[in-house]
Amino acid sequence: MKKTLLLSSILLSSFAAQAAQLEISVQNLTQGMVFTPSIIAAHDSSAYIFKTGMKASDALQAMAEGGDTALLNTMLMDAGANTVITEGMLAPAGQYSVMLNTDMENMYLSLGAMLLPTNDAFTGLDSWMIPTQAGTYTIMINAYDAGTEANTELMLPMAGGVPGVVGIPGDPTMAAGTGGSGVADMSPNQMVHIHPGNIGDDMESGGASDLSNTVHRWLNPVAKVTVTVK
Amino acid sequence: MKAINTKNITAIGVVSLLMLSACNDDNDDMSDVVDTMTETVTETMTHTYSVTITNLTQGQPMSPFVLLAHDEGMLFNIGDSASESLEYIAEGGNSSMLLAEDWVNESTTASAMLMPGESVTLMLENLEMMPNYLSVASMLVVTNDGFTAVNAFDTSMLNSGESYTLMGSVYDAGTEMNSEMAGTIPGIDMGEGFNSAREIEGVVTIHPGVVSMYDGLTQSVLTSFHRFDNPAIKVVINKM
Repeated sequence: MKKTLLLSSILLSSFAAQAAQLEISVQNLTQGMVFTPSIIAAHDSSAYIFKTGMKASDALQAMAEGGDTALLNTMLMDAGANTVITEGMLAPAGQYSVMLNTDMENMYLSLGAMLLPTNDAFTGLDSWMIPTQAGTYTIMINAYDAGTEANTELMLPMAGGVPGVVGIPGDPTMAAGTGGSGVADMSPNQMVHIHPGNIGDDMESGGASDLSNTVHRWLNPVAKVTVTVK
Repeated sequence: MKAINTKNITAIGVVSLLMLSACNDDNDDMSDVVDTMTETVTETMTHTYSVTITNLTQGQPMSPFVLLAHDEGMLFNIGDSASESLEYIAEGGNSSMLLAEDWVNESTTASAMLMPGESVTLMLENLEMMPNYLSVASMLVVTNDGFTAVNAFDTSMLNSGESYTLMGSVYDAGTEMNSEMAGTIPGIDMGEGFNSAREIEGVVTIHPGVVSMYDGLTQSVLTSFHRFDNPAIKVVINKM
C-alpha cells in the first residue's frame, strides 16, 4: 500500500503541471539595437503573444510598432496568465533579470519586446514549455517582423509608434539620420515572420534609409533568455 | 548524455574473449593478455578529444583554429569588453597571446587557414587530466574584428565514444569599428590586423554582419562574397 502511494505521488510530480518560481534573464546580443520594455508571461495553451505565419493581433502590433505592452498585458491577464513587464530600455549587450511566480495551469512561457530603431521588428519567445525539473535553461531567440508595417526605415519620432502610422518612433542609439526616401512601401509578408533585418545606408541625410548600415543591422540570434526554475 | 559507452564495453568484451581463449592456451599467451589489459587500463585513464570544424560561410576564410583545454576561464562574455588576447585573434587572427594565457592547460593549432567549405580536425590526445572545458576560436579574416568560437564547452556532457555537434555564431569583439575600409581588414588587399590606434571601447556581441560595397557602404572594400549569416561553423566534438 505504501508503495502504491509513493508511486502515484512520483507520477503526479513528473507529469502534472505545477506552480513554479522562475527567474528569467534576458540579454540583448546585438551590437546596435535597443529593446523596449519586455512583456513576459506564463500562460496556458490557449494564450500567446505571437505565432509565426499568423496575422499579428492588434495588441502585438502596438508592441511591435510602438513598444506599447499594455494591450498585450490586458489580453494575457484576461486569459489567466501571470505577467511581468520590465522597466526601461535594454541597450546593446545589456541584461535584465526578473522573477515570475506561475500558477499551475500556466505551463508555457512567452516574451516580447520591440527592437528600436525599426518599423515593426520585435524579439520574442513563443510558448516555451516550462520544465518541471529545477535547473537553468538557455534559449536563443530571433528577431521577427510583425508584418503590419512597411519597413520604410524612415524616422517619425513619437508618432511613428502609433499602430497604423508608418514610421520609426525613436532611435535611442542616436545614430539615425534624416531625409531618406524610404526602402520599402509595403510589407510583402503580412503574417508574423523572421525579420529580414535593417538595410540602412551610409548617409546622415538623404539616401534610401534614415538608419545607419554600420550600426543598425543585426543577425540572429538577437537575445539570450536564461530561465532558472527554482 | 545517458547513451551507453560503447567503446568501453567493446574493450571489456575483447579482454574477456582473450581471457577465455587464453585459458586453453599456454603461459606465453596469458602474458599477452595481461599486456592487453594493462594497455586498456592505461587508455581509459587518459582523455583524447577530436574536434572537427567546418567553415559554413560563403566566402570568409577563417584564421587557423585553436583548440584549448582549460579548467577555468572563458574566451569571452557577451556584454564584457574583449580580453587583449581575444582582440589579437579577432582583429588579426593572431592566437599566440591566447595560447600563452595561464588558464590554458593544453592547446593545439591548425596548420592553415580554413577556407569556405573546408573542414579541419584538431586533436588533443592522451590528456592525463580530463579538462573541464574545451574552446575553439578563429577570426573571420575579411572582417574588422569578427570571430567565431566555441566558448567553454562543458566536457562533462561527453562520455568516451560520444560526440556532440554545435553550430557556432559570428561574434563582434567590439574592439574596432566595422568600417570595412581598405587597410583595416587583414584578409583583403594586405590590410593590417591589430592596431591600437583604431581601438574602440566596445563589448563583445553577436556580429551584425558585413555590409559590403554592394549594399550601401561606399567606403567598404568588401563584396557580396564576404557576407555571412549565422551559423558560420559546424563543430563536432568527439571524445575518443
